[in-house]
Amino acid sequence: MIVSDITEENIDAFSGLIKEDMAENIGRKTFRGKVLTDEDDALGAIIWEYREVSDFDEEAEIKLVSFLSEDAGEALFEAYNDEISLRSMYRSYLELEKPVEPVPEVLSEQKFSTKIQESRDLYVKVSDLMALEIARKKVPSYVEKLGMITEKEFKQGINWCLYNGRHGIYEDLPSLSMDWFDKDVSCVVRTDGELTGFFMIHRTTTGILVPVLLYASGANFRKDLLRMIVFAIKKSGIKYPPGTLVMIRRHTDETKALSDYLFPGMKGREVLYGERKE
Amino acid sequence: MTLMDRLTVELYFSSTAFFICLGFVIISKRLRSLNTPGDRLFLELSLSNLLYSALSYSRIYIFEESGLETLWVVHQTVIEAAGLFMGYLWLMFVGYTVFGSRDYLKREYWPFFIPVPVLLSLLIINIFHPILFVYDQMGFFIYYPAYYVIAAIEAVYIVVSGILIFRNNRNTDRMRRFRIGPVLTPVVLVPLVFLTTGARIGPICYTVAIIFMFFSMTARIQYYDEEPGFYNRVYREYMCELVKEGRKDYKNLMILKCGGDDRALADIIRRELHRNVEKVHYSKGEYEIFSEHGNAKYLDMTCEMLSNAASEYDRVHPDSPLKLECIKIRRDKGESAFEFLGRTRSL
Repeated sequence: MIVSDITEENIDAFSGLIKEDMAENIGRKTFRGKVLTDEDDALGAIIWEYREVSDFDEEAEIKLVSFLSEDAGEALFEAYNDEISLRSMYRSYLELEKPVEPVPEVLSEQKFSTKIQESRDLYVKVSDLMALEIARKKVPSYVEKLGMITEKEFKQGINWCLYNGRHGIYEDLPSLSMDWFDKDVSCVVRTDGELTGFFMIHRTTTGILVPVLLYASGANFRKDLLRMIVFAIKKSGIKYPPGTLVMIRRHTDETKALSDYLFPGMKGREVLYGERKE
Repeated sequence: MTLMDRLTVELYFSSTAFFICLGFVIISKRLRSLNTPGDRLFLELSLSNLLYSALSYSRIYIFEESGLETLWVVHQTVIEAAGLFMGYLWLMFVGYTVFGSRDYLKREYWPFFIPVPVLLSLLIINIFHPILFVYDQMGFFIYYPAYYVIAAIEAVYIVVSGILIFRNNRNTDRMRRFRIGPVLTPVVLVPLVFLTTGARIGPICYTVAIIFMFFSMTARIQYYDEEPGFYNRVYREYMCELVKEGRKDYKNLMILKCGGDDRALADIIRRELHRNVEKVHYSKGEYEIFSEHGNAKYLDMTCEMLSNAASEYDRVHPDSPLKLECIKIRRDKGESAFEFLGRTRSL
């Protein structure tokens, strides 16, 4: 059995293990992946994402872990442990929807404390968004679709977000190109000639809309945030079928508050949550 | 009119013009490089005041014995309109100073400016059908009750608008470099004195306020370097004081050194980075970019953007390359922001 890196070149060979939405992340700076193979057969895979916790510590979120035997799981986690031990790691954690045997057992053996809880990700349909009261609000002309700005303005805008410590749900935001986002649904706010608001939405390979970054600066930032949300709702309603899924990640207090405001009482899916201090 | 009255008026008018022109000449060179909407607004305010003052006192010379009633009314209408314009320009200036954005004022506070077209329309109607004031044969204006009622409403409207704008100043530290007294005094005093005594103190009141504002703005300008329009070493020292007091907290710093054209590097920084990024022109050919929240990825991205732009410049100007050097410095674990700033200068 051989553990090797998952790369953009070899990922197609493991399409049975790695779904398209996950596969599209391979090759990005913060994503890493390992695959366990026995001759030509893939026995398991693990993909994780690095994130900064503070200026000096990182954490790793395991995005995918899939194997059919405990031996395969142990081999994969050994490779994972070896790799993260080279970095200043604070913790590892994961959220798994409907994990299959023997994943929970291997997680316990790897000293992950696990529990069943509500996912931080909330899935809603475009029709749900269109039914919201705020979707009827007017959008002022200074909210522009992402496609209206230049690549240079985009870079400058992302740099401004990072300057203010905002990178949304992905830390490799600076390396993502403008084309990676949906240019019709994503939008920006222009104030005094400069971009001051950004709502970046990515459309995954399977068609799920993922809001990646929502940030506004300046005196009117609260209203700008809301106006960009209204813009994105209206545009997604025009561009995509009502059944299109939107994944809202409630990763901060602000995003939790926003999703509670937009969808009161709505719950995320049930997941197995595991965490290990490194 | 006695000789003394004429001299007083003339002295007042000359001094107004003198101060405004002086202010304009001294700061306009700097304003050309800073060129923020607030600075431009201040210039507009200064020039409007000059016009307002000129109009207000010109009747003494122009129409004293003309006997043309309609011309008097038209002239008085222009003065009223100029005064109105001044009041609202003042409101915009306060708004800009508090929010730092002209667009924001237009977007969120446009109802505050609705009375301008309404009142202007009333003034124009008044020329043909006197509803506000009329010129009588004795050389005086007779003001109708409607004039006082509208003036009172307008004064309240401006003051309430000013207060509503100004209550947001807690959200900004801009006002630390800004004195509230000179700003609000004319807005409150001009209508108050007119309504209680009938005296028109607008021109002198606004002029005194503008002179105070001029000195206040000059105090702010000391933190900027005239040529690139970035902060200077005086600001860096002020920044260190703020850090020492715990009012600012920096996580990282980028030092940019160039062996080529200093101005070209300033242009690149201005073009590539957002306007509100804290940039310091430390010395000739040396710039600093401070960040309170940015992480290592921010530093990497900024360095890459500037380096790419510098490479492009070098490609176009092979005879005078920039020779840009980006030094990325992050605060160490356990190091205070003050120690960090001190360390960056010993490098």
